Amino acid sequence: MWENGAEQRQAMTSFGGLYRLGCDIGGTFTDFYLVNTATGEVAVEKCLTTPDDPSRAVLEGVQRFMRRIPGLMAQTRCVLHATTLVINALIERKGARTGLITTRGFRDVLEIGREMRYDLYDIFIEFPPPLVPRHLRCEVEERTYQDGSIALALDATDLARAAEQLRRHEIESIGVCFLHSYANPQNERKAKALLRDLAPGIPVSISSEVLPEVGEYERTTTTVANAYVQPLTTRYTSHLSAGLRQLGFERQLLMMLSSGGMTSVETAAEFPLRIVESGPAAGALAAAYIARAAGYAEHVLAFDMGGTTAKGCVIRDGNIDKAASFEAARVHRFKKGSGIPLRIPVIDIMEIGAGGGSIACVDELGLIRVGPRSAGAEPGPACYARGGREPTVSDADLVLGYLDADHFLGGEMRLDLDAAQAAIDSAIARALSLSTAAAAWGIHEIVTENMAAAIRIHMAEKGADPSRFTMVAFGGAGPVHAYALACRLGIRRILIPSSAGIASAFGLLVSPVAFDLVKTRRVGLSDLDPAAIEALFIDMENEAKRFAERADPAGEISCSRSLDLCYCGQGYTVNVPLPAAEPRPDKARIRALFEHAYETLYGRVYADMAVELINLRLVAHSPAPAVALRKLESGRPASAAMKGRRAAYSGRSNGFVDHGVYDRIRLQAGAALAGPAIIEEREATTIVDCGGHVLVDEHGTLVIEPREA
Amino acid sequence: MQGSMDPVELEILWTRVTAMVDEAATALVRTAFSSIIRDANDYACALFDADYNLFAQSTFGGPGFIGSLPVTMRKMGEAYPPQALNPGDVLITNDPWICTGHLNDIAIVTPILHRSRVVAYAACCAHQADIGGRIAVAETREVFEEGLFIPILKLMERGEPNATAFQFIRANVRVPDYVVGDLRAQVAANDVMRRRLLDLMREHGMADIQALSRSILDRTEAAVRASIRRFREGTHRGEVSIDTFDDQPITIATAVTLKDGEVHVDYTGSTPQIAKGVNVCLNYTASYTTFAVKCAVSPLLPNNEGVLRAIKVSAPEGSILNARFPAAVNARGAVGQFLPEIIFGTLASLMPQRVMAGSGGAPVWAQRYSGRARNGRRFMLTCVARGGFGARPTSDGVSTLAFPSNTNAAPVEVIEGDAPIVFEKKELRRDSAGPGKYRGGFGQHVVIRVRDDALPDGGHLTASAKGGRFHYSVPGVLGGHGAPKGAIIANGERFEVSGRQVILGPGSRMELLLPGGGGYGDPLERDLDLVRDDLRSGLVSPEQALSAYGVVTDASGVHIDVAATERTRAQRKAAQTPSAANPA
Repeated sequence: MWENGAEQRQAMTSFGGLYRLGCDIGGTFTDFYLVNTATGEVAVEKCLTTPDDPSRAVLEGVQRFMRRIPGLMAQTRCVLHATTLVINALIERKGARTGLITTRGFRDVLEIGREMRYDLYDIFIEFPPPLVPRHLRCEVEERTYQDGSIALALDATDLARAAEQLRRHEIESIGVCFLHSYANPQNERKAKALLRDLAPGIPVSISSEVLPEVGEYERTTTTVANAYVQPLTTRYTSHLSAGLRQLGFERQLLMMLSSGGMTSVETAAEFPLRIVESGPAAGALAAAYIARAAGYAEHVLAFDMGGTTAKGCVIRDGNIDKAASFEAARVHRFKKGSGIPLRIPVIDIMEIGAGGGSIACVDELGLIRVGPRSAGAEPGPACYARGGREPTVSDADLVLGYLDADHFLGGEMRLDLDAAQAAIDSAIARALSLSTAAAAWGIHEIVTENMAAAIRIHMAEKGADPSRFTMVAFGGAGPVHAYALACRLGIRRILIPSSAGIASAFGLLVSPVAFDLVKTRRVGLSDLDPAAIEALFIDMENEAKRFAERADPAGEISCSRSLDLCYCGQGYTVNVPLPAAEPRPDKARIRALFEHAYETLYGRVYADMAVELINLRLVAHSPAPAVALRKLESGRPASAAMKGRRAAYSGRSNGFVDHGVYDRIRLQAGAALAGPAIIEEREATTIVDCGGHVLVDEHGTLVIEPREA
Repeated sequence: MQGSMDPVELEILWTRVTAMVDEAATALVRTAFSSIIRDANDYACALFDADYNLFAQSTFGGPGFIGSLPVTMRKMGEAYPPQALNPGDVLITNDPWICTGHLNDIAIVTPILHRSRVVAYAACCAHQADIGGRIAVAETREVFEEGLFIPILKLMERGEPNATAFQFIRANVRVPDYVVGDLRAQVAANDVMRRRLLDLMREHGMADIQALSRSILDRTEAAVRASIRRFREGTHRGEVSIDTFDDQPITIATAVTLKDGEVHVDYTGSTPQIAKGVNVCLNYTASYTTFAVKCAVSPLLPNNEGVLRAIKVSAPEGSILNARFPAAVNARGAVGQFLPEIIFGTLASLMPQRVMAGSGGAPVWAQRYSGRARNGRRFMLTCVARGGFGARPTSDGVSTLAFPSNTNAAPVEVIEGDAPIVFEKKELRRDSAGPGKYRGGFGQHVVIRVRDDALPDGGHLTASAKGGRFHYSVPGVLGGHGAPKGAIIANGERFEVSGRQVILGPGSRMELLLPGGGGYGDPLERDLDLVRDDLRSGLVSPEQALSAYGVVTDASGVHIDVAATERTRAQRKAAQTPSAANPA
């Protein structure tokens, strides 16, 4: 369907500009966004995800666009892709039969782990079983010391024996992780070269290429996970490329990295783990772009609420906060620490189990608890009438009048209000002697506070003050909860992009090509040799550029450098970007930059303490593609888009009040309206409480200012 | 009983205050210089109401603070009642009998004033990098040998640092910059809680937080009592020896009484205090006892005064679990950390589905390496490793997992950069788990060698190592077997006592054999698929499979002869004496 009605459909079919096509595979739906880079016009599509072969839904969506735009494929510059393929393989354990080769004495690194409990009181605590069981983990004679000196060269005979053992077990992929290989990769590289002949046709991931960073446990889990998902990613991307070629697409298919840049299919196949969080990264990029287009790029909080989780991400001056690690596939009560730690560059996302499908119950304290358990897509919330009996956030939203039973997903799916009420009554209202509405409001309030609490902590850890931030809300449930959440956080402005339910797919269209590298070089600042650091950075630059140029051969690639520094004795590093104007700062300048960053985060510095360098980081990137969105027509007042009124719950009024209901697709630029209001589009519903003001900007983004608390 | 606040509002405010203490904890951990705060989680942040009731405690952190924080707070309150406090005041003490049982833990308390009235207190207690005295050995005979003793006093007065106090502290510790840095981090953590609580009160127009605190405490207490009432009332007794010092066994006698929705744990009959640094102050006894009872009856509830109201702890004064001043208490974990498995063992027949077997992680195994490297730099490194977690009612124990303390393992790659040592191996130890229907987690086998080339010619380093279970094995429960004992071997010589110091030259080795966890239930009932997995992984030998599990393997040592196994198991079952049979 077209963003802005039939007139545009006409217009769009008649020009000859170049297209960018974004496609984001999610748990339930695969979302598509098409932009004409010449006119800024956009179009969207949505297909059911096909889990058995996700490329089927992708090709189906592309074909839908092709039917609407003759000759589309020949005019498409690139297809940009985000997928849950890798994360699902880790969660469902559907990766390759993987073998691991380690330094003698260290085959159990994967199982010994961090040796720490993530829950103090829970004696039933569980950890994920290692991706490689013990009998597929082999040891070889070799040893590198911490300073990079080789104490023992790799024993080739030993390696041959290990390869033979793995071959007997019919492994499909091999990971190699030797101690201190980040300091000197020689033994690992030799192993990789020898394995080409010892295990022909079997892909090999070596830790010094996947993640040359100190810390054997995380480096091993990361290398093993990369090996584990490599065969299926390679299969998938070649399958998808072939499918697109059959549709006449001859140009480049690019994949979204977890760190928020596009990369080539070849790089994704080599380091598949790097696309593990591609969807969320696309969402953050979309938020950054939308905020900039609306003129609020300085302090942005991306807020994405879907069916099972809510995510928050801080973006400052267009820079998305990044993290160096990520935890996948949690196995126990969704607890942090119960998953597989992966050390990859990833956008720094706060994620909690709060979504439309989150289940509400009364706990042993006699209080309402919402999430992290989720009804998922099957059976889904009670109101989906697919067998779900437990009340969910979506059920509460329906009872509160926020969702329209007849117009959910544009009317494609009817919601069952009676089932929602019955579920809330039996699980919550009766137990607490509350009315159905009060119980539903309780669920709504509590899930909102859960998100607010998590975001507050996340922002506090980054030295970010919510009251200075603009929230960009998207995802299926985001716009329903954005207003209440913003009020709880003291956020004064909310932006809801058009097609907010599928904004992540839009993020693919506006992402630059990029590649991140990290290298551990642990040295005290006083002993640091700037020339040696410069040489390392130059090496990293050449390597990162090589990856970036694969994806954007003609692009102007530039590099950003940063250092992970800490006070000697402290365990947490602070990432300190080196300003582009001074890529080679001296020791005093590095210290000053570190102290500035430290003070921003923690409010104090220690003048007498020695500073230590831990890691060098570098990102190579091309300029973000210039996508000028088409401007909306203006002139019609909001009243022209009003389609009726309905009673919905107002937190400010503590009861049901009449809300104006607006059809978002008919709102024009400059239209203004006031809460209480409900603004509906196909993929999302926006709720504005009493006192809130809404202005539609020139790109169709809703700019909402909640009433001052 | 249910408090006066409506459930939705209460849940929202409760989430807020929990987030506050956790935010403060995160700030503390990220800025701490003491690796014991950062990696060993040896800290707690908490909020108290105006009546000194603990209503929110950081969710992470060590168990050592669970029962002690309220005592710390009340004693501080007695010394400095509200009328003696001004905005900007901060209190400090590390008195082991007021705090957590040894001098290394320093408590910092900040009153929170709203409209010139004290409405709450923020408190933070954390293990410092150093406190002077003899370094963490059990050899002390009185607390005076163990370092700087800070009485309750104002560390800050109206926002101004107490320069005298800081001078005293700096002059008495080995790493003054680290200690003062961490004290500042603690003060800052309290300030996070203070600011956030005042924000909350403003937003919700609250004049005080007594109603909120009361609701939290009442609901928690009611839930804990309801949980306790699900079990039969009565008294259960136990008595075990845990270790020997100077050839004298340390014995812990336990009487656990369930009555009227309360649990009372009494340690009458335990060994009297001794002239070694392993005595335990009652606060620490209460913490580890409360921790164990809470794990069994209400593991998912947040900790606050409501929990403590339903769990009572007593021990005779002068006993090793309620030592009198000036007893030596430095290494109190060497005794105190056994309490959870003792409580679990005592409660096993009453609540078989709620307890676990003993863990190889208690007590903590740590070594310290110090000296001067070839490049002239001094190094001092602490290295910690953990045994296996005890088996549970429905699953095997986790291998190499801390319990009951909770410490993070520093990577070998980091440790090897901090001292001139190399690890020759760090692997799971075969046959180290206590057999059972569910077996314990495996312990580990660590071999560390002093690098040949990193010490000055003729140089050496000083190493000390502590561990445990040299004399008594990690116990199983409900018919589960104990885990094989632990051992420390330095320079080829096996330690008879924990905490010894040795000199290591280039090329000499330190070898650690950490025990696994104890087993749960009769090993003859263990599922054959699970035994097969353990045989395939190589962590259970065919010999142990036969001797402990009655499982017969073929020549490969991996494939199970099912018929022979069934015969063997049936014979052994028949031969089991009633006392050895599984009482569950």
